[in-house]
Amino acid sequence: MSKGVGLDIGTMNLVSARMTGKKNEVTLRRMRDLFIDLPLSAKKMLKLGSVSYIEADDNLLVLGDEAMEVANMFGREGRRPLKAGLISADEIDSLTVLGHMVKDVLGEPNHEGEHCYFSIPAAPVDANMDVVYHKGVFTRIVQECGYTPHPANEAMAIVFSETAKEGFSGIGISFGSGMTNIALAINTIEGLAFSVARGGDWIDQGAARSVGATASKMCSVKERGIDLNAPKNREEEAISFYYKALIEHALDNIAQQFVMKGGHLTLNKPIPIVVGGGTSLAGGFMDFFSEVFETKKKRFPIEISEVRHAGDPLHAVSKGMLILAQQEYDED
Amino acid sequence: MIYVAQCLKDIEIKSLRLKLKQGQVFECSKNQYDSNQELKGLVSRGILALRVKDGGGSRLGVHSNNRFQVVRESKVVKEVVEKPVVVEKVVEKVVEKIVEKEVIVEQKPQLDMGELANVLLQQLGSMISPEAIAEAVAKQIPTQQIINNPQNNSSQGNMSISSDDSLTFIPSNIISSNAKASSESLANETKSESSEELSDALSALKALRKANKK
Repeated sequence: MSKGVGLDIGTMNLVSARMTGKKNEVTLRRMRDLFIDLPLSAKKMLKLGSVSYIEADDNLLVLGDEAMEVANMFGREGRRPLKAGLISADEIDSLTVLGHMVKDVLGEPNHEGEHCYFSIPAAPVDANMDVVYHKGVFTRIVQECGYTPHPANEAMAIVFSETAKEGFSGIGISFGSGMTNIALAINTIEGLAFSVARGGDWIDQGAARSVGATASKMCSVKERGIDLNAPKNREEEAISFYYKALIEHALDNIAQQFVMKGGHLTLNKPIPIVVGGGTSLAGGFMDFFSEVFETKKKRFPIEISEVRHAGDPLHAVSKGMLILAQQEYDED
Repeated sequence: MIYVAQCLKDIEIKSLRLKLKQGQVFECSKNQYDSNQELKGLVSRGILALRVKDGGGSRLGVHSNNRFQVVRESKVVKEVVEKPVVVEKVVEKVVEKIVEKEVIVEQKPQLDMGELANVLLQQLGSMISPEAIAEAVAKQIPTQQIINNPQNNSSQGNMSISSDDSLTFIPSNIISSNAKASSESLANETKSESSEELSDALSALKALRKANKK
């Protein structure tokens, strides 16, 4: 097995990527960022239901996809340790749970201090938040797992995994659940990186408010499969409107941030926009994106060669992180 | 000694052959008074008031007016007697307060944690090595870590993030070693075979780095 591991820390999923040693084979380990705590008395029931759990302190923790099933069984809501892309301040058990989740997703290091690149969002331009604490906590967790931690920008990972043919120049956009991360790179060098505090959760909440439903209902409508260009009912239509608003907001901010902060960047040739992230998996998303971009293209301050979807949108960030981790060994 | 007797009523003193009206006074010697039972009886019944001549107004005998004066005098005496009692109580309270304060002062040295820690360390030192104690103490102390500010980053290829001056408290031992998992892993594992792009990206990045170094 080759060395180095990439980790995508997302609001919805934690994904690790590692080369298996076989040619071109990558092992991806994923866990949904969801948990539920139960009293120790529930152990028997979980065993009977073949539900995996962690016994920590005085309670049982069910993590990942199984947490959602168990939450439904007990008539409770699953708890999310991350919110809006960052560690949730509302969840007192966040750190402990995230520690177990990361340890599980990463597995044991191949050697002591194996290099691990993990994704960190950029500070949002439209919300009063910073990523200082979030980054510090994950650095500590990865370290406690036995790895050498390297925090790296989430959207830059998309540039690394998807723009090799352009010489690692382009705009990477990661449409996540908690926020949308954007980075502009020229020949591997990060020229501009920021995020907007809107993502899949924002769509769910907005659409839910509009039609008088719950955010989790909207999320399940999305996950069931939806064609943004041909909504079938009122709920899908509301979701579609919010998708459009999210894309417009992201593109407007790219233009604004480039004008404000990217004046020093010299772009000799048009660069691509590469889109990744779980929120971009909705049916017809790229057509929708291209359509919105066309309306803004004339006044867009950056010359764009093409707009394309990442080859593996859900894993583009973890794979980008893996490339960076492997670089650490190539330099030896 | 000469007594001055004052009549408080109209009376007739047969033994002295005197008829007197209210308010009239007469004088008699002590011997005369002592030997005259009639006078003594009049004084005791309050009909006559008796005083020593030139004696500063002090009266002898018991009669109706004098009774009140005697009572007043006794009150004064009582007040005089009571006052020291009050004073004694106040003194007692003060004494009590002082005692309470003394108790607190006596307890303080018992709560001296520094002294207690020193004693404990001395006792433990003979059984456990100082390094082990220091290590145990260090584990209990929260640690701080320097966190980076990503907004100021302008990474070069490997995107490693430079350190910043801002300090943030990050807890240690986030992953509990006491936690037990019921199964080996809770994560979903998949193998992706379409990673030619990944290999290409890796090769391209390596080549770019080499070119940049030259």
